[in-house]
Amino acid sequence: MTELEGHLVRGVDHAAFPTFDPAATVRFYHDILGFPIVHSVCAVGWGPENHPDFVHFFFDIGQGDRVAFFYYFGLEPLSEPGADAYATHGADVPRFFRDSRHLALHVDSVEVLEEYARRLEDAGWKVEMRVQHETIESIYTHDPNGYLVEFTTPVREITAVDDRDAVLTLQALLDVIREPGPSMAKLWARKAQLIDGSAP
Amino acid sequence: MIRLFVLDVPEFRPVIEHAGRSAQSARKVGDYIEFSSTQPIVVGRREARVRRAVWFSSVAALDGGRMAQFDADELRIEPA
Repeated sequence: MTELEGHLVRGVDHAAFPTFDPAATVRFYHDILGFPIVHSVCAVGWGPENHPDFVHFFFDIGQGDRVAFFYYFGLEPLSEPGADAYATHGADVPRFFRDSRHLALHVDSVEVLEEYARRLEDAGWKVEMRVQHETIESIYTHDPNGYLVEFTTPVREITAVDDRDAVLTLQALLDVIREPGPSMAKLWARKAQLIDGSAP
Repeated sequence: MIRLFVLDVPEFRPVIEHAGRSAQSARKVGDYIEFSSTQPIVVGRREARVRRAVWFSSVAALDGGRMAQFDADELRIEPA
């Protein structure tokens, strides 16, 4: 039986931030610092907030932890980046963008995920979402400061297939943002060319 | 000719299975399944039993086709 008492989180799964400059972000984390590109999600927008299409991409930061970014097609910067870039937003800034900045804490099992959901709910704290993503299952809440906090557990291992796909995604993204009017359709088309060129 | 690529990983297998029913051909290309068709490729989300969070990221690449519909109900690609 799983021990469900005490301090059960196991560090950071990922810390996530929005970016308006994926090229500079890849240059910094991958090209300069040498962090491997390990996972990406290219998703068409959905939901009540007229969510833009987006690319969510991850760099390995060691120990299986990751730093992640969101790039939103067609979204202009919502404020000037200051000392704490994009951290302070007015009420007009959509929730999806504010929630781009979040800390995701790793737990080892669905049982521990449920234990944290129980602790939150027993204290009257709302578990706002429970989502099974591509490779992780997560619960979400906002802390008293308004920061989104995620607890997450892997549903499958990230493999070399995911890593290679992420590299092609980012190569396609960096190619399409060099031209006016980048879009998910253009990314899909460019990625098809890259797949053709990379397949043995 | 539509060419749709889906990453060959467990969470997208239901999409791969259902896309294969309307596409004219399918083959493995690297880490992907490539579907080719001169006719529309259609996948119903509920019929394929795909969760929303995975559904909306199930297209890896698309060439020679137009995304006519990609919402919570259906993925529909038509010839460009």
